[in-house]
Amino acid sequence: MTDSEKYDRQLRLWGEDGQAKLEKSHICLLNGTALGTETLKNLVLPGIGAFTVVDSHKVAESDLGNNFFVEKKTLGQSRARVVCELLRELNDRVKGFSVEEDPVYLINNNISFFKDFSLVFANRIPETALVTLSAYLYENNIPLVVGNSYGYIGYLRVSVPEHQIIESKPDNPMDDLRIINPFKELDEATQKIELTGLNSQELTHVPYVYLMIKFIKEWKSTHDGKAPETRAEKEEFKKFFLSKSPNPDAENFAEGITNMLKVLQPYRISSDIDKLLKDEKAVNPTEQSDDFWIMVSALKSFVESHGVLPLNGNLPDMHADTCSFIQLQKIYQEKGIADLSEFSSLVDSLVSKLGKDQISSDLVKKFCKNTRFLNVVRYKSLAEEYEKPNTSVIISELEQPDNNMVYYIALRAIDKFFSTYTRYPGFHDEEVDSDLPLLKSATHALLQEHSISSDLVKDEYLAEMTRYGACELHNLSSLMGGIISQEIIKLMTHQYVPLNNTFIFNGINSTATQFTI
Amino acid sequence: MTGNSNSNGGDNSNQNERFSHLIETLGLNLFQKIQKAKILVVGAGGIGCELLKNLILSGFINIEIIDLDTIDLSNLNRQFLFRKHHIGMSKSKIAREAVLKYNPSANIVAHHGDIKSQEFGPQYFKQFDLVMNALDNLSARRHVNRVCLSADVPLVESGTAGYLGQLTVIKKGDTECFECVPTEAPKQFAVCTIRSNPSAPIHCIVWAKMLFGRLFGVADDSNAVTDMDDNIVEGTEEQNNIVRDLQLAVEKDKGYGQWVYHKVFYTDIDRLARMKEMWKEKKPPQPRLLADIDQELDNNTAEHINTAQLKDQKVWGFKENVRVFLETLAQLKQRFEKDGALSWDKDDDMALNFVVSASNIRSHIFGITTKSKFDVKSMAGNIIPAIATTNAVIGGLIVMNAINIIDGRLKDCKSIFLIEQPSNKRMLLVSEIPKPNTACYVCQKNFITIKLNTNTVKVGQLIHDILKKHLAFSLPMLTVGNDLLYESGDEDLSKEEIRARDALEQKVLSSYRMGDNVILAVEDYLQDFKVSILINHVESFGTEEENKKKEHEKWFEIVGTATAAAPFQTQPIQSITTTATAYNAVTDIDDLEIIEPTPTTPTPTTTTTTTTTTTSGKKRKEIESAPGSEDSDGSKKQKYETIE
Repeated sequence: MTDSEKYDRQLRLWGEDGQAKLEKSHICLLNGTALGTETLKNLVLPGIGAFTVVDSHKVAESDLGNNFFVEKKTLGQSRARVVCELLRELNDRVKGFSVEEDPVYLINNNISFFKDFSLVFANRIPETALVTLSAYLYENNIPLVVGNSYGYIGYLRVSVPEHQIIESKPDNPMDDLRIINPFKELDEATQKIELTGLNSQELTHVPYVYLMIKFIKEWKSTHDGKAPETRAEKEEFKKFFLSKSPNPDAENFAEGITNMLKVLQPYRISSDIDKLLKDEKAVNPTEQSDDFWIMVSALKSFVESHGVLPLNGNLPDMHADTCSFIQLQKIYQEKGIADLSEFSSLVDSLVSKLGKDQISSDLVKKFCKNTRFLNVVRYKSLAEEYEKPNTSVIISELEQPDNNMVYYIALRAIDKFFSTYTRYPGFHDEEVDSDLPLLKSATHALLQEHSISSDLVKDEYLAEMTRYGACELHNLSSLMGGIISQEIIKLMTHQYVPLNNTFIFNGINSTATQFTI
Repeated sequence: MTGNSNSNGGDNSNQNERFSHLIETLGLNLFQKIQKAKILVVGAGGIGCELLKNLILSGFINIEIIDLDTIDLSNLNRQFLFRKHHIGMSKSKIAREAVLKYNPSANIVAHHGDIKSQEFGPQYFKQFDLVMNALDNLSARRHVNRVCLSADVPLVESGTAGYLGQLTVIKKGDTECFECVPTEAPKQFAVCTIRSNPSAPIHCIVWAKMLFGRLFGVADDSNAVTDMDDNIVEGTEEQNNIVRDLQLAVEKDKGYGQWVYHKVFYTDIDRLARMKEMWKEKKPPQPRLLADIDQELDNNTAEHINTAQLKDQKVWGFKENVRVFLETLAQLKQRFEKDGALSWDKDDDMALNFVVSASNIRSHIFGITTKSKFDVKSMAGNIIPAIATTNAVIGGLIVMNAINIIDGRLKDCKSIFLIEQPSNKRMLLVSEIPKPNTACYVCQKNFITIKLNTNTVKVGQLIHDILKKHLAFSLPMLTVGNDLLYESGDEDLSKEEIRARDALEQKVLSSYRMGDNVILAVEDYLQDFKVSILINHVESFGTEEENKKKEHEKWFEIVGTATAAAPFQTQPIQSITTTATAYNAVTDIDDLEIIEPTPTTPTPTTTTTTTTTTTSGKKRKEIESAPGSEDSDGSKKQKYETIE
């Protein structure tokens, strides 16, 4: 029985590197609510390193109704301790700690408590304390995730100044083949291949990469040196390409046609990568620069001298005889190794120029193989969002009927309501009716503060939110816990691009929307 | 069956306080409906655990669980109701105990059994207000679909694979059923592809699994191939001789490994390479003498330079494969001698190493890319990645739909896809549940045509390969007019009758009243499902034996359904955006970005679609239990890949 056996099904998604990062992380949960424990459940199961629950509440009857990580016999005991113990049972490899303390007290009196966590997940923390916490974590570059499960509405907000991703794992990555702009070695190898001397059987064994490069070159020679660009030209080229095929069933030619549109795309460095290369941190690396930015800076030098990114070096399976395939694979592989070695020396010289420690060769290699997929996400802090939200987004979303943005506004207004009255609207059944007008005016004040017309938030939504009385439904918390833990895994493994920056789940019509506010 | 625990725990006074948040949000009326509702959960795996927890904490108290499985170590990264000390125990029973703690007065019944067994027929299903599928295989899904249609009980169907998930609701007459969605036939490999003409790694992996079976499986001279892999048809005389040779070799002690190596990687390959007519269009395989290998440098050209992370993800060099092959061969032989016949198991490291090395040596010989142990495990074991997060999201959505159904609001139920990265701000793709497909042979017209050669196809092949495997019958019974021709199941039959039936299975169809233009009634009383089948004789279709030497191996064709395979199977993870795009017929997600769909074989758009056993030899891998897609032309299509 090994961990790799226990984790087999997830290693197939994020690999050992992702798993190692997960195992190094220590997640702090503020308040052991159903949403909090359901989120942690999905993190403890795949094996984070440790978690800490901060909560001053005692287990109440209402917890028994919605929280899977309390038991009847624990009524009245510290919720932090109880949920911590039950969560720990899920995975003996994970360390669990509990702190019986009001998170707000810690935020106000001992904020450095939070400095060693990999990530803090806050729920049901009052606005002012949350802003203080956010500012502190932001300064220390620790991700903050805020979640809320409120009646039928789920809310998620991620904030960290900068999140770097080497493996963004896009859905449909293109192979790095450089057919339209072959590198020297590939071009030379292609030229050596004489198609005219081949019989029809031999011709069907030539990898389509060679065919494409040859025929594009031939095409260019009769088209003012230009590759096919327009749709008509591409159609024309397709016919031209097929006319070279010895028979209609030739699989290598068919592969060429399948990939034609992709390989005819002019080579360009994506705008996302271009933005990174132009980033101040890439242009002027300092001794404070981290490994990621030093490597981006080295990449910038590489691109300046070659005009292209380092070659990835992988050749996908294609129809070919073994010899030519292995030969072609070698060409790509060797070029990939050559580019890596040049890139590594650029990194090395920059590192020594800045007087920094060597960057591990594994990391440099991983970076070099993924240069097409690098990503940096920068988030607003909560303070910034509250002061200067993206009002144009808010307004345009609110103008659409039945848009989930209305729940973002309602939840913000509820926070304001809580700050004023230290209770949630409708929390006491007898106050549902009297709380609604109070929530309305809190909402209108919020909208007014950002010069948004109050007509855009209809009363019926506020009435619905008041009716919930801040109650938490297990089922919605479980669902939101799934979504939030997924985002936390993205943040911890630095794989995939986490959402930016706000997410609303609407359990009334099962819709979910992401907003950058 | 585990006993009920319906005795009132005496904490009713607190029940209302405990569930006050539910009563407030849902309203007392709906809360009471929930408390009265009777739910059947089929499957207590990843989704099943989430469902049971969510149901109990959403106020449901009448629940039955059915699961055949026992708990395995690799379940524990997501099936949170189970602990290490539960390994080997019944999933349904442990799940019941785990959730009962949260509401001891709930009435939960756990069955450790097969959903397809006789005790769970339509009568059993009728007692439930709602059935939830949390299954991991297609044939059980099709079975439950039919039973639910028969019992007229709404069904919530769901599946997850890695970061992807989906769910929908099936209600007789109101929505499409699980089998309304046409799909491609499951991938099968022709014998000749596996034996003599592999062109992809998977072909060599299937071959290596068969070799394992031949060497260490149950000895069966007469039918040595079929019992090792369902999709491989019987071997020829010559191949059976090879089997005999190999099994005899197990007896020989001295030089056993060398002998086997020489046999399968030199003698057999050499013979193949000499069949000149086979290698007109491609390079012949290169037989490799063991003696030559020592002198070679290890050839690691197939090793990708970016896979240094995982030791199991490293692609072994040729010599390493040979070393592992000989080593595991010797070890497995010892086990075989000690314990008797072995069955291949992906979690048996020795057996896995054998398949990795044997398949890679063969790939090498045929000039096919070699694969890492990690990849081979995935392909040979049909492994689907699975994580807690996806199950949590899908589990939550299922119970939301369930509450809508219990509240009599079927119209508010939705089909939902969960995708891995938010696409154009959306993470969930929500759509209305489609209406029934008027051509569906399961829920609508109950009529199909099967084309085959009635003079060569045997009754047994019709029953097992076509009716059970392709049309998902569990216990088919055949009648023509008023005459009973064939009855499944052993329980009601005497030994004599079973023997007679076995003899009958060897007859060709035309000699047993199933000639051209005969209409057969096929009935499955377990599924309470009946379909009329028109037999159409096609002279050019032979038997599998005859056809396997030819290029195309089609020996039957089913007309009137395209559901011979797998709704709820999925495309590979990376092409999910295509699913989203291909879904543009659905209003709610019309603003997704358009990405060029990956090419697939076209599916006919007409209501009558066709499925056959033809194989194309393209490499595929199976992903079970997850989303399907809808093609942009509006015709439903599942782009899934499968190896078995």
